[in-house]
Amino acid sequence: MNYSKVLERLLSKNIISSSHAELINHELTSRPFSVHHELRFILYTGILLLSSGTGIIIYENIDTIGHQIIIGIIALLTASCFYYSFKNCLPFSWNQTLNTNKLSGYLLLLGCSLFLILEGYIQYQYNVFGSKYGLAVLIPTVIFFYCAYRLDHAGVLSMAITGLASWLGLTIAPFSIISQNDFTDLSLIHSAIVLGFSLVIFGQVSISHNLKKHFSFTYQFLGGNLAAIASITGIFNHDYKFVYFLTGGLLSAYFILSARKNQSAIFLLMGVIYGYIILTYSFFNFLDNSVAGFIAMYYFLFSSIGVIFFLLNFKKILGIKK
Amino acid sequence: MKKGYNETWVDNLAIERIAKSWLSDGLISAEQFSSVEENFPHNFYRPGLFVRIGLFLFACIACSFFSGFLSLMLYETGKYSYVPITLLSFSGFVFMLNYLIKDRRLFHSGVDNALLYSAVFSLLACMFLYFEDRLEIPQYCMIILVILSVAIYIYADIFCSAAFFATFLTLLANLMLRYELGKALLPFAVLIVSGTSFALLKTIRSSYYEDCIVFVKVLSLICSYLGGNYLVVREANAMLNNFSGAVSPQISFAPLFWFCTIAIPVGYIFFGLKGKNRMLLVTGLICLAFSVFTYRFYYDFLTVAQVLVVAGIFMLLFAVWAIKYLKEVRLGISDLTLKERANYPLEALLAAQFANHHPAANVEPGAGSFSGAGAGGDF
Repeated sequence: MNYSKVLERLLSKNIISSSHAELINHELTSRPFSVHHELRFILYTGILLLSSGTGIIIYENIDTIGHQIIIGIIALLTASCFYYSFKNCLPFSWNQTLNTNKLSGYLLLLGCSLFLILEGYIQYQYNVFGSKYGLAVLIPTVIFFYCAYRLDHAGVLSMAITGLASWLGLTIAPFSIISQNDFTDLSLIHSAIVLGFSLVIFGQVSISHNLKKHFSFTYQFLGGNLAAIASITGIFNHDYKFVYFLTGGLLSAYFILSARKNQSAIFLLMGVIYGYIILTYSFFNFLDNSVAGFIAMYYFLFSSIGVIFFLLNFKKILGIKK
Repeated sequence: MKKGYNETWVDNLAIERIAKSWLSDGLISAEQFSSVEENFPHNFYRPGLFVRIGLFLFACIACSFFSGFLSLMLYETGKYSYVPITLLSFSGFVFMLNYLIKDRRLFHSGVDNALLYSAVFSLLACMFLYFEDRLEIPQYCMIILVILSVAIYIYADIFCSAAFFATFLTLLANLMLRYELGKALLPFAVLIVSGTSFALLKTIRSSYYEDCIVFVKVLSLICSYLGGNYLVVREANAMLNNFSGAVSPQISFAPLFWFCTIAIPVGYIFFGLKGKNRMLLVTGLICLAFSVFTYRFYYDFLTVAQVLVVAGIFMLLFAVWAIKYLKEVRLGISDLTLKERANYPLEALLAAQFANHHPAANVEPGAGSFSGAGAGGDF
């Protein structure tokens, strides 16, 4: 289906007049070919290559350059990033502020990452914080929370939440969530569940009290995934399965309900998948082994058909318009 | 043979997509767009990406357990006991596929993809188990090609078309590798076949197969580049001749392949810019990056870090220069996005839309009770 065919069809249905069609046709044929995104991609890739190449060269020649100079350069870069983004920011508001200066957002993100590098470098080289790792994590967390709210940046907010979780003894990031955490430790599971729940609740509070409403997605996405995975690990590995079943089930139900409210497909998917895992595991765990093997075939066949039916009809079931 | 999805709706979906891009470009008004929706209705169930992924996953689970269920019921230790199992699952999947497409108005919505793949797999499993190893690879390829071409013809599935293309190339390679001359000519054959498939696909105009065509076109471009790429040809040659040294031996016609390695990406980029074809341009850029890698693979006079720095500086300078240079429209190319352009005929368009507000339309007032079934892409 090319556009001249579409024009013909629209003309035949009298949706556009022939002069209008002529105009559209002229515009489409004479329109210059915009290479805007391609050039930006080349530009950003170039910056990325250059900076990583420079980083490697500096690392290889660290003996001749010296640590102070490198720390000085990083500190200077960090400061200039923060300076630029604070200079170009809009006045504070509890609502979403739309900054037209896209660069300032990127630079803030870069500044925050550089700050972490700087701090890690200083700690590694001079052991400034000693063994007070809590303090070392808390400082960037506080700064990031401030920046996220002051400059209205959801990316920095997720860095701040990650810092908060690390402070509680976790590293929370979507992909390292299972591999890096020794999730079999009970206290870790409990703190993860508590933190996750409080993040979800805080996200809900920020909606109801209109405190940066659009941040609630970040809070609930990170917190919800953390608490749900912790609950599932708890069900798999520990006694008192009922408690974990309850927390995981509550979360899944909450995800599905909030998907209904926000018409959000990703929360729906999270709720359904976590809920399915939890229900399935509990179902077979509480059943006798010999019975379970017999039922399993039917269970998986019909439950997955049930889930498909649910997903096919979720708009009707959840009352999502359109 | 009847096609799986409602062809009129597919057409209408394509019209609506193009009209939507015109709406966001300001070429037509919102009223005109809604009258496009009324006049070209489609009622497909098109959920957002995440729901589609979920549907696909659970449909795969359901399909595999359906087959498992059948094998529990029907499995005997006979020689051909797999025949009823695979054929029954095949017919079950096809029946469900057609039923859901009709009843639930699916259109590449996850469930139908999963059912189609399961159906193809169960039919293939039946064939392969029946022939065991009595056939040669080309004959198996032929079976796959026949089954896939039927699936593509009816359901216009993207991955089936990609698999078709890959199987076809495998067949070609396998046939050519049987002869000494074929081995030598294989790169040229891949180049020619991929190029021909691109040229042939360009002539097909069908909105039903549009996505498949675009996907296979990109694959053909990439394959014809790889067929002429020096690195691929040299290393494949070493592999085929079971060479086990640190450095693979030089190939014959090396200058020709070096020429292809450079000329093909440059040609893609040139024709992409000339014909305003973004697909060609982007593929050309990616191929060019691989060409640089090819050069560096054999002539590494710089360390990795130095290469990164040099490439980074070069790309940075080029991008900055091009952005500056293309601030104005040159040879029909520009860096500006649509809205930034100075001579955008916005006023003329507005006037045309206004003049068109009261057309002698065949749209009756009050007849527009259409509601789109597409999900919002937001998450």
